[in-house]
Amino acid sequence: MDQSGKNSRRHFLKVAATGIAGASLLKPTDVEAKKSKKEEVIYRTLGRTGVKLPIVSMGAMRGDTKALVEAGIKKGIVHFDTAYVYQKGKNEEMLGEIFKNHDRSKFFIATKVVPDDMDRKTGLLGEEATAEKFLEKFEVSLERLQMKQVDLLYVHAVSAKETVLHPEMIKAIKTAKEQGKTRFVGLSTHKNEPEVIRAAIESGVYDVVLTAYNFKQDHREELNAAIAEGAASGIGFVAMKTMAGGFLDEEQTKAVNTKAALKWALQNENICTAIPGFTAFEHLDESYSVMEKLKLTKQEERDLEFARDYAGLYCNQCDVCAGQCKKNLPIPEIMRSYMYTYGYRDMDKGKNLLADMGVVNDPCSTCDSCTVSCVKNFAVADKIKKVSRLVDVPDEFIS
Amino acid sequence: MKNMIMCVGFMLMVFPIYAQDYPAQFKSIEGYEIKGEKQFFNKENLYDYINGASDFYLGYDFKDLWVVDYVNSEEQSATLELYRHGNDMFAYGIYTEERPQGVDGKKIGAEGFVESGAVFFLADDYYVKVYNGSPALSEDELLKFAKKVAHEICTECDLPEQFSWFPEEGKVASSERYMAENFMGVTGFNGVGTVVYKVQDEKVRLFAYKGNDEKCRQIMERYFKRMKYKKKLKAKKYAFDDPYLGKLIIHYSEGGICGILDAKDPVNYEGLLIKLIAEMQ
Repeated sequence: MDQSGKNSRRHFLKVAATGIAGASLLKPTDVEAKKSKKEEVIYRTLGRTGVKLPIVSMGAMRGDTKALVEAGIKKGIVHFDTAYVYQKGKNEEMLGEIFKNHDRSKFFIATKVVPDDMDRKTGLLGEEATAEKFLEKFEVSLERLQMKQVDLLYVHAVSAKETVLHPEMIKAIKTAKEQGKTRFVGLSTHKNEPEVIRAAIESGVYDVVLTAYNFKQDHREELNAAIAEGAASGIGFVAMKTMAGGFLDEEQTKAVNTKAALKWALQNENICTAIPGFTAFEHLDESYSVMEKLKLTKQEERDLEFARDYAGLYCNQCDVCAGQCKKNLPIPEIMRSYMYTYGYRDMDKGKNLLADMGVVNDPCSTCDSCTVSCVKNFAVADKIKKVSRLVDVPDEFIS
Repeated sequence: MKNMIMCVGFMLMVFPIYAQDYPAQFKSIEGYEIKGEKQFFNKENLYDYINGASDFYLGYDFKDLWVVDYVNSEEQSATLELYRHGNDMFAYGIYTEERPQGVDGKKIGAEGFVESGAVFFLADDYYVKVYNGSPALSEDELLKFAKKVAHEICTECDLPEQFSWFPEEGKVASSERYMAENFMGVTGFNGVGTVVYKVQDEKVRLFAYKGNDEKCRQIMERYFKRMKYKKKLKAKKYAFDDPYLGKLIIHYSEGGICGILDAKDPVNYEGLLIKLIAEMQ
């Protein structure tokens, strides 16, 4: 029995605490955006497009938000975002009805078109993904929007490098631009964002990337690096999913501090603007008010740290990862053990579960790379390494 | 104690496997066999299947989705998408988000429609989409297949009761909507039914909500605050000129809120509102 202290309860908790602290919030860049004292609105430039936009824009996500879009316009929002697929076109139609009554030149409207024949799992395109079909859908979007031109056309939901560089997609967006049906082109990404962004840089075609970007993403350091590279190459960045789902738990009883979450995303000056989707007037007011004081307060930082740790601790047992481990480790159970140990501080329960599953200390040590892909982007191998040490901690140090 | 933990561990270990079993009633649809791999999606990865549209589904308490291919004896195939939501109202909500207004509704499950060769229908807490495969089924066969699926969900499927309160006169076909959250932009005004009426070339909306009285009062007070209206709440009709929603009438009585939106002069439609109030009580 090792009682040297290395495997003691105190040592374990100390290491555990370090692990949790180490996973604390990393700001994308610790710089507050510049803001004139006279101005209430902060503008940033959208990469090489040269277009200046307020840092708060609007994802017009719902067809019943007509009044909210009008309210956004009154508030000063310039950029509105929609997509071909939203509500089977009702969303674009709603925006079309609104903007036909406004001076179109004062607004920056973006829509997105999903390529046909995209493999849901790999994000790769098949033979049916042609420029012709893409442009047919885009024509439908323009018709619904009652516009001859949008400001920005995205290839929607791109998650693979091959799709970014696919000749048919490049042909489609170049054609749309040449025909004057869009001023600028881009892509949106919610998965494998760094790879997608780097491919967009490589292509030299995409003006803008709309990316998922929030304080809860485990790979945010890599994402920040890719965004910085993209910005240096002239790509403009728009952030989505900044509220990280809005709630911490499935029952939706623990809300994210959404104002803090939006501020966090906008700390990164490479992000030109964000497109939160509002469903209530007070959400609009709250989001717009981040421009009054963009720097996160201490309390807001604490709220985000709490939210991040909460997300990092709680595996929802979706079981999607089952069978992915080449060593056949019971990943959902080990993640549950991690939750018991680090979340509930119940090491006894955590250890018992590991023992029941026959998990040994550091079972991943002989693997070069991890084949498990968590839908919540958990750093699975890292968590297994941390929690599996528990099996060598003597019971008397735990109970 | 350890035995109990082991037992709990075992139960918890086994549960997710059951949770992902393809529902038994869909395993054998008469005349069809399942072909290929079944795909399962939950809240966490719905985005992988329907991309940005997933936000709408999550807003209607989406639970899970199965995507399964079926083939008949002539090798004609169809793809079934079974979206399960928190309850029948949420399923109705997402169904009406995607149902074109004025569409020719068909009796498939509680209600369905055909668009671009695909069948869409509502049945209890399921919103179901049936796409034709290759080689394709005839539209008639596709509809029969959809009806068989619907029958496996409910034999007497009905539309949610909330919409039976609305008067029939002047109602625009297939215009019912279920607004899951923040109706009129008011936080917490969740679960509101709306129906469009066409009267003398003007389209107006009636809305109705029933809940516990405390919740109704909170909603009204939030709206009053937004409108900077400071009088005490009473059971009666209120007329407002909302800077964003225009002229409207909102009626509160114990446990219920309803009203008229989108009218140039909502007073002209009070007759409809009175009928709605009567049905709600």
